[in-house]
Amino acid sequence: MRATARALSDARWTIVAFAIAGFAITFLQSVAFFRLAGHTFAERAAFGYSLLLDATADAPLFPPPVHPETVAGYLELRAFAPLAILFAAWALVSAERSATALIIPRSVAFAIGSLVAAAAACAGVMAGVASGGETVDAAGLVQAGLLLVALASACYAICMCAGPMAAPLLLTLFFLNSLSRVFVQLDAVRWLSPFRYYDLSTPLPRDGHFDAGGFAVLVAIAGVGTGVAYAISSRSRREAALIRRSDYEPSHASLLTVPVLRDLYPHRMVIAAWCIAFALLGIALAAATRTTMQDLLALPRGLPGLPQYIFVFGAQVLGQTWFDVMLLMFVALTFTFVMRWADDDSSGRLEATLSAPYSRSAVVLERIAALAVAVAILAAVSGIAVALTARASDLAVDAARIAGACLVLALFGVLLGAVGVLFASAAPRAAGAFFGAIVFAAYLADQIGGALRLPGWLQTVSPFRLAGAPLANGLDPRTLAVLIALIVAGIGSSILVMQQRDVGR
Amino acid sequence: MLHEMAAPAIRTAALTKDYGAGEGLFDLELQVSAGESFGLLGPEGAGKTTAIRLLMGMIRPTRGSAYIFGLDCFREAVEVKRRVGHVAGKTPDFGGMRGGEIVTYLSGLRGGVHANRVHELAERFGVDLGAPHREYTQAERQKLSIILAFMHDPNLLILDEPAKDLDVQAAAELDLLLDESRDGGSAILLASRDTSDLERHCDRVGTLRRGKLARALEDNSRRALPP
Repeated sequence: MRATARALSDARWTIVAFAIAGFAITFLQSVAFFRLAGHTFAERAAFGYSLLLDATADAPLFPPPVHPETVAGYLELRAFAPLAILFAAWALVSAERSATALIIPRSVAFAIGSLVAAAAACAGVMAGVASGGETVDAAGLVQAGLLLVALASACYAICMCAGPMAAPLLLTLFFLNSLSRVFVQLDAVRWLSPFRYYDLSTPLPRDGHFDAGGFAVLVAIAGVGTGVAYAISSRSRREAALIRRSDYEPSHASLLTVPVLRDLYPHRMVIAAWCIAFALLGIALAAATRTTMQDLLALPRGLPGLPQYIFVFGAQVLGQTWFDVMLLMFVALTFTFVMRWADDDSSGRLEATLSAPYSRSAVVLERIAALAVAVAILAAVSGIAVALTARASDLAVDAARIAGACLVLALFGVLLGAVGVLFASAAPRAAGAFFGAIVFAAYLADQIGGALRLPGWLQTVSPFRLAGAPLANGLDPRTLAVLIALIVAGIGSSILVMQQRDVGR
Repeated sequence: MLHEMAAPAIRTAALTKDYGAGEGLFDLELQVSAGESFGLLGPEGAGKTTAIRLLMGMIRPTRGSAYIFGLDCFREAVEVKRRVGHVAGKTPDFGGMRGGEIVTYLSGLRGGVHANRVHELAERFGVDLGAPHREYTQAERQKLSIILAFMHDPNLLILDEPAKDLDVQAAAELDLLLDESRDGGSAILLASRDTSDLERHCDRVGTLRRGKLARALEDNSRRALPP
């Protein structure tokens, strides 16, 4: 009980941040719906159809919408589907191998924290929908919240079992389910993914339903996974004590003495796994592009308010299937780096590092350089996979455009890293929460900034807006210059802040 | 360089870190000569760790100054740390990194560390450098911190409760190591709650209470005792 309370106390700022994020996304999306969808039947039908077009292109990421012309269906698509990904990312960065005795208390604390955040998300729905003078089904809303908690708890348990391989494994499980919407061959194995059981329910819109069986499977994964993590932890300690002979030699890994690479070396297996995952993802998303184009062309035409013909180009669709997905992947990747930098402080690693003759500015520069190397490698790996698959699939996508998109992806990752390293330097305990909030706000500013009537400059400096659509439109030198300027400003501010602040617990 | 060698190992003037509500360290005046060993005695919360973290440049003073071998502890922190070995009050957690990897990583930052010295220290303390840090007991983590502080044979050792969590054998080994360092000419600043720890090793002892050096510094009789 005390350990659970301690774990809750340690995570309080993260819980607050996710609660705010949950409330904000549901509330703001509700408000955005009433501003975007119109009021007449025809306006809402046209709005729903445009969402259906988007959702068809986004099939590798989000499930198909149910009644997107209604506020409940819109929220299911634009609020709860992203929240499911956000909660899974939260599980990923929160789950770490810990002392055996702490595994169950931490799992319970995470479930409680996700329950709080899910409740805030539901409150956001109620407030937002009420602002438009409409209502949603209360039972469906509670079920939607509980599904989020169950999914997050299941992901947390899986991540604890997987240890350092958690990120690639969770990514694989996510895309195993989402790509099964495009590739029927994956139907047979999608039951392996917890996201499949989340998708079985659509409790919010009318005609939607709550799949109690799927919910029970998620709860079972959480329970059994926690037990397995406990067993793995206690067994590995016993075996380690029995098998290992004492070794008094320092490591001979020369990479541990090379600047920048020494930061990546302890995570080399994870980065290798990310590389494989990104390459496979690139191949799968590029291969899905032709199917998505056919699905788009097969949609009915002639709804009022929409163009008679929809022109579909490979570069546009690949931009939405691969590039947009990769942006979110880089958000997740950068989030893991930021949480690690924040943990350097609380774990005492930063103090140990600064006990050596090593400057604070070097800490900042090496952090961001290590991230830059990682994102450059991953962007290149994914880009090469996409280029080769696009050529094999006869997709008319210029290789130079793909290279340009990889450059933008890398700069996007480094910009997020510059924001993250600033927070990790200024307020490490709250860095994850602040970083998540800023990235989330930037995402919303790009997606619904116009509907919320945010200032133009605020929408323009959103990293998601700056990333643009390089596959369809090519590179814009001015945008690249802004990205680089923001990166330099973030790193410079981080160095100044790091120089001034107190280090240690 | 000559100036640095002639300068005291530690010199503070009105060194203060005010956390508010009477917590912190206030007006510390301290001088420790090169080759001297000095003990900081005090209960939990007396300000020992704050004093050490100020000297290590981890936190900024509210006012006052601190110098190590004539170098400003905050502005010239990098140069200061070339000369210092440090055991922090709380042992760090390096997660899944192996002990040997941690040593190589921090040796790489520091430079000039010999693998033989690391091997010798690890063997003396019985620390398995092949094990992940996550699997270390608290005592093993403390022993690794001691190895990291002594591996480059520093001119000054700043040690915050180094015997904490150690078993009798390891504590005896630490005693030997401190004696060797002092005989080799290193200065030592040793903070502890335990009077006997300080009496064994220190030429002088000062007592901290509520952030102030409460008792006048006094000569320790240990040096006068026959070997």
